[in-house]
Amino acid sequence: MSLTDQQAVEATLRDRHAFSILVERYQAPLLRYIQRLGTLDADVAKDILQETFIKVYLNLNDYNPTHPFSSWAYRIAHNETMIHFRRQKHRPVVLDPEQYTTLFESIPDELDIEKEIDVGRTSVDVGQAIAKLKPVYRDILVLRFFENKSYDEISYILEIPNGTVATNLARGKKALALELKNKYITDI
Amino acid sequence: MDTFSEQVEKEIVARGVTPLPRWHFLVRRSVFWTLAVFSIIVGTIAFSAADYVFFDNEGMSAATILESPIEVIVQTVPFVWLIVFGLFVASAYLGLRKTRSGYKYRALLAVSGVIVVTIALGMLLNLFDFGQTVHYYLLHHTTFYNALIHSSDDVQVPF
Repeated sequence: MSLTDQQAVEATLRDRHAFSILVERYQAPLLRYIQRLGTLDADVAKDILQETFIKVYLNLNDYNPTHPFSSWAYRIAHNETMIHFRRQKHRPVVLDPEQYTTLFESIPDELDIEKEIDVGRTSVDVGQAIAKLKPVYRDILVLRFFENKSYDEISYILEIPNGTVATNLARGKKALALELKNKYITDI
Repeated sequence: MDTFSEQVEKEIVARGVTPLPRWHFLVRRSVFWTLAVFSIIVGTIAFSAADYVFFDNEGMSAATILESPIEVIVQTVPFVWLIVFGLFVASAYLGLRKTRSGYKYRALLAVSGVIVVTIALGMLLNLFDFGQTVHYYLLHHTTFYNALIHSSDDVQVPF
């Protein structure tokens, strides 16, 4: 029987070796998330991921079980990635189009712009359009559409009020729709 | 070759990292709550003193007020207390923002909440002449307060 996240946290506090359960469970989604935030270099992303897990381990006693462990780990991964960007004094705006296939597929439903941009839309277009958005919108779109996080979880991960999540998500979607429409109009 | 989880574990051992104790986080959270509560208390005192100084203005006749109301307001508004009030409202907000669930509240809502609570408590204290007590205590026991509180007495409004 596999341990729940909470049980794995308690086991880790008794025995360090149990931490591998949490690392193995979350390394893939957290690595993808770090890359989707704009970390293009795979080695750098892995370094940030390692720092994330070390921070998770260091702060295990601060984990509040009223929130999912995954949200807490995402919050730490987000903060570590932002620390990295601040140190670099640069956040990449050219993103990997491969990362946008999921959103590309869900765009017609989510953005209500199917008719306008149906022709010629590709995941590269979506990637370029997302790259042009303000980071504050990009972060929320990534959490909502790639990581499938709820408003409460996004609020917890980004440490912003629920209302701000809703507002920024609506603005982000609008800005993305506008970028894609402009792209389509310019290209044809 | 090591798996990623083994690499993480090796790094944890190499750096000598151990989970911080529970009390560390309790103390950290308590510091922010203490800052918030302390700031609200000081803000309340500042507001009660400001309220007293502004409204219980001795020697201000109705004729003077009617003659030059703006000048009267400029000269009687206790700017020192209002500055103290503003600083501690900001500090209370920062303290609350850093608590575990502080992120849930919009800045405008949190600041408004702190202001409302502080003003309500200040007015409540003034039912017991608290602002007056603070004002006269500082007047009689400090040298700087008299100069600060009357710093705008000679201000002439150019209209």
